[in-house]
Amino acid sequence: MLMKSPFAKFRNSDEALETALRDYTPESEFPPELHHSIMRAVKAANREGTQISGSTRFQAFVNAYWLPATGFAGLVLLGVLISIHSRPIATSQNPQPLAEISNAFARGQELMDSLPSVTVGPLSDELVKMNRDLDRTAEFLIATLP
Amino acid sequence: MISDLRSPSDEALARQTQAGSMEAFEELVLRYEQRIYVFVNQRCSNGMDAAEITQETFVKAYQAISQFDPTRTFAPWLFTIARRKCVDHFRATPPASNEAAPELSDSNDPSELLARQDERRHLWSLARRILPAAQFDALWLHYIEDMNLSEIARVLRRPETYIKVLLFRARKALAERLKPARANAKLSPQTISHAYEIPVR
Repeated sequence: MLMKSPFAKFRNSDEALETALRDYTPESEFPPELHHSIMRAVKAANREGTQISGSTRFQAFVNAYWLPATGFAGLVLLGVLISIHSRPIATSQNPQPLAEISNAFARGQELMDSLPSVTVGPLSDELVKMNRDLDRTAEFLIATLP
Repeated sequence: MISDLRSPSDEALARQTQAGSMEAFEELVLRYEQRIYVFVNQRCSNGMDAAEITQETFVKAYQAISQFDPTRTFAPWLFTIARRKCVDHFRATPPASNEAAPELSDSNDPSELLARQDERRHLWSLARRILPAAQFDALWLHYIEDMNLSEIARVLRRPETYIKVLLFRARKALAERLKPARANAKLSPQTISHAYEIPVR
C-alpha cells in the first residue's frame, strides 16, 4: 500500500519546504481571559509606577554603590580631625597628667623609705640609682613642658 | 496580521502610549497578544506558562515603552522582550524535556494514524524539536512573522550575516530530517512511526 505522508508535499524541494513553513502557522488556542489579565497587570504596573516613582529615585540614590564607601571615609576623616584638634587643648589646659606623674614618683620614694632595711639593703645601690634616674626623668619632663 | 490603512500604525500607537495613552497600548495588546502567545507557546510545556510569559511581556513593554524608538518597527522590539522573557522563565524553571511535543501514535492503522496528525503542527513541532532555539526563533520570525533579516537581527541581537547562516542551517536541518522517509515509497505504519520519532537534542 502506498502511503501518503503528511510531509509528502514539501519533501521534493526546498521551495516547497519554505512554502510549507510560511503557510502552515501553528494554531494555539488563545486563552479568552488572557487579554483582560494582561490589561489588569499593565494598569496595576502603571499605578505602582506612578506611586513609587518619587521614592524609587530616593531609593536609587541611597542604594548607590559609592555612598557607603564615601560615608565611611567621611567618618574616618572626621575622627582624625577631632583627634588632631582635641590633642593640644588637652595638653595645655589640663594639668592632671603632670600631677599624676609627680605623684607616681613620690609614691616610689615613699615605698622605698617605708620598706625595712633588711629587704632593701642588698639592692640599696640599685634603688638609689633608679631613684636618681626617676628624679632626672621628672626634671626633664617638667623642663620640657611649656 | 495586516492592519487597516486607516488605523494608526503600531509605531504611532507606541508614540501615543509614550504620551500616556492607555487606550493606544491596549490596541497594541489586541494586535499582538495572539502572535506573542503563539510564539511563546512554541517553547512552553503548557499554556499556563505561555500565558504568564505573554502577560509579563506586555507589562515589561509598557514599563519600557519610553525606550522604544518610534522611527523603527514595533514588532521586533516586542518580540525581543518576549524572547528575553522566555529565556528568563526557563532559566528559573527549565522546561520538561519534550512534553510539549505531540507524541505520534503507535497505531498500526495508517489511516487512523494520518487522520490524527495535524500537518501544520507537525512541521513546526518537528522544527522545534530538532533545531536549536536560535535557529527555531529565526525560522519562526522569518516565516510566521514575516520579518526581514534586519528585524530578526534586532530580535536575536546578532549580525544579519549570522541570521542568514541560522536560516540556512535551520532549513537544511529540517530538509535533512525529512529526507529518510522520502526514500521509502512504500511505508509500513511502523516505519512511519519510526520516521516521526524525532530525537530530542
